[in-house]
Amino acid sequence: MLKIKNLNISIDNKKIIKGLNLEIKQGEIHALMGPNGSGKSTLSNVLAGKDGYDVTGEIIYKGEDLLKISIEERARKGLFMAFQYPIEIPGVNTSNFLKSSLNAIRKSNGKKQLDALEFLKLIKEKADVLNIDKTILNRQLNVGFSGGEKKKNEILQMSILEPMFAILDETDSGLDIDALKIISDGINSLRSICRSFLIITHYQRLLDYIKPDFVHVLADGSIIKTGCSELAEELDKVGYGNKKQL
Amino acid sequence: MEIKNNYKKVISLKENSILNYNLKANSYACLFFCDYSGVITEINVNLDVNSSCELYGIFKNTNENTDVITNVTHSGHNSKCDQDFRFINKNSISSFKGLISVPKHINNCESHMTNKNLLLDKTSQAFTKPELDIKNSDVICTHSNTTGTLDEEQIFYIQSRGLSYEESVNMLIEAFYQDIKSKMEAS
Repeated sequence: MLKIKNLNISIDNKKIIKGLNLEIKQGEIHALMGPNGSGKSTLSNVLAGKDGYDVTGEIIYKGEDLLKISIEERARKGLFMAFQYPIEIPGVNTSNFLKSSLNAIRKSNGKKQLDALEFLKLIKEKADVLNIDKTILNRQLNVGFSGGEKKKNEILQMSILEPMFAILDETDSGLDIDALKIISDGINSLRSICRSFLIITHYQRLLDYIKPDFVHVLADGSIIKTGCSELAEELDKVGYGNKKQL
Repeated sequence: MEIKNNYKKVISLKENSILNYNLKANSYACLFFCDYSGVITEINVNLDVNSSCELYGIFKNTNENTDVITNVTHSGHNSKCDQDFRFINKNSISSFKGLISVPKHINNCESHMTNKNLLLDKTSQAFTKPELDIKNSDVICTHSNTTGTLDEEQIFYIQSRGLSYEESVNMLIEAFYQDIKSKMEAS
């Protein structure tokens, strides 16, 4: 699904990611953990196609050179990033935004676009499954949303767009226990043999609910250790500062 | 023109114009100026006792210069006015000049003036000059102006959900005047 080879990313001549290698196969869940400033969000931004980075190396997504594909084409090819800080867009209705997004993706994949009624039915269904308050759908996109509502809205978008490869950039940060439960249930409900996840997190907490196939530790721009879900528990005990013990 | 009761109108102009609205006592007017650009429009509103007026403008300028001048005079007690003009400039220059006058002997008036400008490129400019000529302290008067460009973070977010750059920009332009548009739809 995704193959990253010798990836280097810098911003303003400052190296953030240094020779990173990572392979995520179809159906796998990978957790990427690491301290603040280790380059986790930089990596997810580059995967989603954000401008302003100097990138060398190779990212192959479903056999294609991802770095040559535009932001919207990546989304249309099934890549989705749940933002660490979802952007507020005043004047844009949440439900309408989701409909435009879904239809843009469906259209490029040769599928029939949903009309207002079909979409309404779908979004209500998904919101119910995720136990998400439907009133957010009629509000302006992320405007005045609480931290939890913003993250739930990202997961709702994911469940509607049904991506092949989802990056969750610190989706668990700033959530209370109930919201964390709702969000991890949402992610688990989307788990499938054809869908892959890259879950970026600081804490082991989220991984109590979502069992990853692999856990990677990112420090100073490269992966210093890879293991199975027990690695996350170990990290929780010893912390990031104690790299030698890992 | 004289307005005696209720008056609502959407106004599109093809040439430079001076429009005079004289609101009689207890009357109400709601005017939308849109779907035109490249001309100079002077809007003069005179408000009699208990009258109230709403003025809204949406101007999408492409390779054009558009000027709007408003003069709102509160000639009667308890008169009210709300004005909100938005300019979206693409290789264009807009100018908004608004004057609110409240004479000394007129009490209990309320008047608000808003002007927001969205510049789509570096060649665009927006000039704005709000003026309040208030001679009576028994009033509520406000004015606000903003001028800004599109937010790259917002564009990235929309694009990351599968919409093209152009579609994202159009979505943000529509969002910029969404509140006025919904007032138009409701009226």
